[in-house]
Amino acid sequence: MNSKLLSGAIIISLLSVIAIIAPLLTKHNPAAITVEEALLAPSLTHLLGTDQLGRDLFSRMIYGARVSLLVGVISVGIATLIGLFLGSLAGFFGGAPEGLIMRFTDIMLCFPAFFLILSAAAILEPSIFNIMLIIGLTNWMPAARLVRAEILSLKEREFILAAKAMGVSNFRIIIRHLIPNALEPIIVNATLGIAGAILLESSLSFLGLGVQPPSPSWGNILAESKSTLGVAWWLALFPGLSILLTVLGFNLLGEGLREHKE
Amino acid sequence: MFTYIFRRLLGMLPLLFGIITISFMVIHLAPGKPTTLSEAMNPKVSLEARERLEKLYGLDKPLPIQYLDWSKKVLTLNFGVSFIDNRPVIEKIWERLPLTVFINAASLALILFFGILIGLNCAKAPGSFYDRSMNLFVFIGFAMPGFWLSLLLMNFFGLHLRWLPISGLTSLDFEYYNFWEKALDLAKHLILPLFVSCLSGLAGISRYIRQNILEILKTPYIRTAKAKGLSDDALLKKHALPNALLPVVTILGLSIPGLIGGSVIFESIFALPGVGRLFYEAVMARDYAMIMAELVMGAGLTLLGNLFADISYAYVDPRIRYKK
Repeated sequence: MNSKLLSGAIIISLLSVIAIIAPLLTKHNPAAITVEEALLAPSLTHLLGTDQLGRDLFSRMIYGARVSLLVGVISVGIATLIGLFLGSLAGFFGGAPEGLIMRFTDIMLCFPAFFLILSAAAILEPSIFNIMLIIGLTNWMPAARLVRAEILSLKEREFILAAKAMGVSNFRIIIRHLIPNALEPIIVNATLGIAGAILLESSLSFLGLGVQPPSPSWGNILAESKSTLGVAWWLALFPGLSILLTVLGFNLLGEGLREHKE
Repeated sequence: MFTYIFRRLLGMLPLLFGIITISFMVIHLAPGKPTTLSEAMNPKVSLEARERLEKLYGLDKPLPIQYLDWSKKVLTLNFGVSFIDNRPVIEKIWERLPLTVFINAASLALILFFGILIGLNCAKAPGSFYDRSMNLFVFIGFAMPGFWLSLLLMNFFGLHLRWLPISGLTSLDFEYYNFWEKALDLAKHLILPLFVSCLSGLAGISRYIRQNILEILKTPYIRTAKAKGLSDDALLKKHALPNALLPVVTILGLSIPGLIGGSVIFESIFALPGVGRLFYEAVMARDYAMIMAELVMGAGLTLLGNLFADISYAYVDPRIRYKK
């Protein structure tokens, strides 16, 4: 257990617990508008203050944590599944399918990811589900390349030869023998990917193309804080700090896992 | 060298074909005619935008013909007129492109310069206080949401200290300035956006250069140079650094799509009139003609950037040039 792995794991488990038990942590409803209490500075009743509509920032932020973690995990899940599928097809079968798949991957990498995501966001409805889908569908390329490389090196090993000699089907070899052995780098890649996905979601929400108000997300709270910049420092500070900390946590966890394995 | 460039150009053709195909698929993602009440009530799926989209790309024609039309549009850079003001899309892009290219080129240069500086100093004494604090900086740089950093910097330097302007490219009375005042004014407006756009790239590159130098310091030719009695400084700067920098060219090329994508964010926040902001405005207005044009141009710029990186790599490293 190295220090990166430990600190990353602590940050992420703490955040996950907060996100899961969110309703127990606050007595304020994140959506309750109380105009008389608008823009209050942090105090004991409102731990992190209130926004321009008098909503409690602390409860909005812990509900926002749910959104960020959910979007991060699910979109990376989608990306990793696509990467596993395409990467193992390319790595295992070689030849024309490999050429085709890897060329496709190269082409997808030509598009600035953020351009692709924004175009899709312009065309589809901005909902949490679509955000996950869009981020997943535009970020599978590194996973596919990684899986292919892992499988290329694994498939020459004796145990795969043995499995083939025993007449195990190709599908079963990939699912039961190749992928489980390639899992470690894939998990590291996915952990780092979650960090990226959370950054993407918050940027999208900040630009008004991600999670739509009144649903709270760290990105859209920051977007609303633009109009009170210089008046309500807490609205601009805390959501950003949470994004920073969460992304840092996943990066530390990923790097820590990588070093732990070595 | 010329055969190498020619080969690379030839290798780009399938990519170009792929870009046309994928962007064509994106057009067809567009939602169908709003039929249900909830969609019809939603101003974002505007019936008018959909109709203009159909007319622009001939979506009532058979698919192969649509595809040929789209290819022709891309290859001739004729993307039709903007839905917002009916001006030719490509004209609007050319107007705004120089600023974005300038900012991205400047931040690449800054990333390279400071990346070498930091990487070299870290490799000099791995594990030192400097090295460890730079490691921390790298982790924070990677995790920092650029738009949040921009907000904080605007708040601090713009609103609090009032040292720097917080938006736009020039001050109101820009026309009346002399040359130096103009340069200073531009610099003042660009310093924060440049800083933000450099940060995450810098984190990656400096770590990469450090790692590379440390690897190279273990190789036999460095030991030979050391045995000759070369000073540590000469060893690092003359023998290790040039070789450590070779792959950096490729990494810089690979970071171009990220930079172009990032320009959407900081150009929108700092209200800079570049293609990133143009793209953002197009997305918000559902100006599909502009969105598609920028998507293709963004991919095209990335291709050009990669080509440029490959050629410079081949230029500095003959092993690449002569490889089959």
